[in-house]
Amino acid sequence: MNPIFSLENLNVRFATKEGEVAAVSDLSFSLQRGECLGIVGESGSGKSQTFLATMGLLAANGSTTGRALFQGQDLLKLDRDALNKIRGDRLAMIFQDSGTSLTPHMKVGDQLMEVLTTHKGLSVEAARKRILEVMESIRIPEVDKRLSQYPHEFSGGMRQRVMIAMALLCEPDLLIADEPTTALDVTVQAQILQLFKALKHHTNSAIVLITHDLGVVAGLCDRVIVMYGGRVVEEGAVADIFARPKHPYTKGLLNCMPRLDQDLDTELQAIPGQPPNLQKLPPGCAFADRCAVVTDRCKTERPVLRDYAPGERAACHALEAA
Amino acid sequence: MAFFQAQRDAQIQLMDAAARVRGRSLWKDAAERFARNKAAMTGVVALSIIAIMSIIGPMISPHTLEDLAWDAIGLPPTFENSHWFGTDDTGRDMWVLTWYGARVSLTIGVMTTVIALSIGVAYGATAGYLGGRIDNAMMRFVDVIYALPLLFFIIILVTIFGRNIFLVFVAIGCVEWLTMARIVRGQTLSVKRKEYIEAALAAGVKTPTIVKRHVIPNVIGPVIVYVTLLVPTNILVESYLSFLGLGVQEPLTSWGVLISRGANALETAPWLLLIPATCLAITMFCFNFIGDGLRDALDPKDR
Amino acid sequence: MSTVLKVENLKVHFPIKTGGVLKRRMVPLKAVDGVSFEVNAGECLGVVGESGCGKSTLGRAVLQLIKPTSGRVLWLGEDLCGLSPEHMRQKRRDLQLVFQDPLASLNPRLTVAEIIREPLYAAEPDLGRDEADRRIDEMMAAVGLLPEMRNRYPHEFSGGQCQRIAIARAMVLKPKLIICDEPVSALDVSIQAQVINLLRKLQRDYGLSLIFISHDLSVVRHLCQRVMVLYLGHMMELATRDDLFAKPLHPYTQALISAVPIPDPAKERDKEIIVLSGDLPSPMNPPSGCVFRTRCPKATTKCIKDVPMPEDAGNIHTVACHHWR
Repeated sequence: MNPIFSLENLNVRFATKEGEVAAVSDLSFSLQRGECLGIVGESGSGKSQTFLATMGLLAANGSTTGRALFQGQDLLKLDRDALNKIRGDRLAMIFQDSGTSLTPHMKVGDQLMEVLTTHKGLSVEAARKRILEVMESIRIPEVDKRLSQYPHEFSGGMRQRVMIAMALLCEPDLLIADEPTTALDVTVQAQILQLFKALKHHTNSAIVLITHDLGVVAGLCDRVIVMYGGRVVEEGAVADIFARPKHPYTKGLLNCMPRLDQDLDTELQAIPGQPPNLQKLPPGCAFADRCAVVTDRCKTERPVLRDYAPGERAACHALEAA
Repeated sequence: MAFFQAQRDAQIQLMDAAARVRGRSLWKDAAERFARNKAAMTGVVALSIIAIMSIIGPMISPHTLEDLAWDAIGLPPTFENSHWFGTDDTGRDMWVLTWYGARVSLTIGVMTTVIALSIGVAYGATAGYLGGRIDNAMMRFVDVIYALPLLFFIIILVTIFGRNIFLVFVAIGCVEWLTMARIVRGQTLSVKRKEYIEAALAAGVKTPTIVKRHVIPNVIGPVIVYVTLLVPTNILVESYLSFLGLGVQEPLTSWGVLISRGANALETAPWLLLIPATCLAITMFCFNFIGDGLRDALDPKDR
Repeated sequence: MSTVLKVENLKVHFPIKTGGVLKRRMVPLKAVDGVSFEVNAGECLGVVGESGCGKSTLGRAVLQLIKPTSGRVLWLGEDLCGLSPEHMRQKRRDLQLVFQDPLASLNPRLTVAEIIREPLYAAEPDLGRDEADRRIDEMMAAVGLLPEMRNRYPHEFSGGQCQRIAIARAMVLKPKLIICDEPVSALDVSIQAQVINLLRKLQRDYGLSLIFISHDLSVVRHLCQRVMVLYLGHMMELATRDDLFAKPLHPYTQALISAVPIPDPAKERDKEIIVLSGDLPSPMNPPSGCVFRTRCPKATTKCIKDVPMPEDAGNIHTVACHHWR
């Protein structure tokens, strides 16, 4: 089966006065229709920049190489107009701070309407019908009243739902959600996550969920990619990664989280040290100076991603030795 | 054991060396950014040249301010008789007049700004930090003064006290501090809400120390930028006061006076207008470039 | 165990102007509305709730950084609410605060050593320079900062290190109580654990009392001995950690606990989530009776009429709900 979306050797660089910043390096993966992929990493791991780059939304000093194939088309080669046409139609994105993505001086209903009339060329009546349908499906109460309100009259959770509604209007083939629940409270997060779960069952869209929260990934995703210092360190099925993490960073991440199901009064196993400086990445493994099983080889030679089982990849010298 | 001992010694030495390293303060960062800004540095150099010339320019020339050369009235710029910038319609040397004018204009620009700065910062910081009703009353007073037209204010002063260069200082300074006060107040209000102020309060630091260590250093950046923009504004205000005959008086001169007189002789002796006007324009540009450079250098977004 | 802090019926109301020019009136925003609790020596009390529940306001009101509208804050038996500013300033050496955003809480123009020195000089102006330096070095070592960092500025550090600086500043006077306002929320997961472990170690080593304000139940469960749940300025439930997480009595606590994602696919997919409908009501116009009733799955007409009083459910477990039994 052909993947719906795939990245091949994606590199994202930023030119700054202090030198080049390697935000994303040699990133490759592919995504099937109906699949939900989680991308996990801390700030500066390159998880957000990856998708901003493929969407042509990088900051002015950024540059991208590699290929980003969406339904056979390389997104990085498209001009702005062609990209705009795909964006919001067959490919939709949801951001962390949904408040800023809505125009403050337009009614929410009109903004939703605009998406359909421009991208799909629907008539106003048809568009309205579709909007009501989608709003219903994501259980927004009092739809009519809501549509004639302005964004500032919505709470954070409600705005995020509107963004999801907007993303769903055109029935996209690929939905990219960048930290969609990070700014929300846990009870509201639970509402939104439920929405995503329903979405997964009822549509055939592929979903990419970018997050730092392993708990969110565990509940929603089929497959997960762990990023560190702009590179993939581990990739695999969710069940495998959580049960048998291979890479020391993934292990560390799972062990350092306080969680509700663990024994009480155990000391958290913190990962020592600080996140890497993307301007001065070491020649070897970016995780080397925080790693518990580091060897001399890790400091000089960068580990490459290797397959350890079908669909399971990791980049670590210690694994190769074992 | 010996190995570990040696390793620890090496580590301690390394730490000692590192302890002597000083961090880069924001001021130092800003200074470096400013030094990298070509336009701003050009402004600094050009302005320094003008300032130095305003001091030594008249000394280089064999002529003086009072010299009236009857044999050389209305002479265009020439190297003969050392009238490098020519002479005016009474035979005075334009080189000397221009640099004397620079002296007066720059002094007025800087002095009025100093007056505006001292009143404005004190007033604005007080209003901003105290807040509440006091702030309200103080700022309404500023609004009232704002509503008075500057020219009207100066004409009243001139009719009461007569024409006097100090009067010009006072008049301009007294009006320009209003904007300064507003800027400082706004900055103080935003700094006052910062968490590190709350942290200092929670740590039990006394109010005067908070103002001195936390408020003023973080307010001063935008104020410096505004100062560089205020100096040329004030030079310009002086120019148009002199143009209207309300500014400095003969034989003392300023760029405004020279431009005013040059404008009358535009057709017969264009250099009388062009030379002081060019000097004024260059000075304006310099200050604006410096101001832009400072703003970029101090911009917190670039941190 | 001795009680160090006793808060009685604390209320913080902010007057908010509403209406147009003609119909202007003041409406109180009830950020904290009648909260009582105690903190024992050497104990960590967790305060959890969602944004807008008044937990940050509560912390600041205890420290008198926001003037409480009414109620008492008894510190070692003395009411802090009535103290003069100068008197309160002297009390501050025992009560310190750590903020959520580590970078914003550090003055960008001061070096690390200057930042940590500040509370020392405020409390002991006559302290010699050598002695001050010695204490700063000691505290920097205790929070895991290298001596080479003394003369550097906050913007040169990552978030986790900035939070260590802020903790060193709070700790340098060896206070008896530190209020931590979401100290790890702004940090990356791998750094969170470092800071949590540090706080645990400091609490043990120095016999500190902590009030740990957070929205993250897993962190609170890990760090605190007792936990208080707030909703819209009201206390919903207060119990020992083991009790609260093993058998939460209040419907809100139950919903909160069920909503926390667990990083284990099998457990996360099978667990029952109590999804609350709707959003937090406006604190300017709170619901009548029980403030939680608009989102509560168990709400009845009794909840609309009567405000539930905190009831003792045994084993120092307090709950404010009509239906906890």
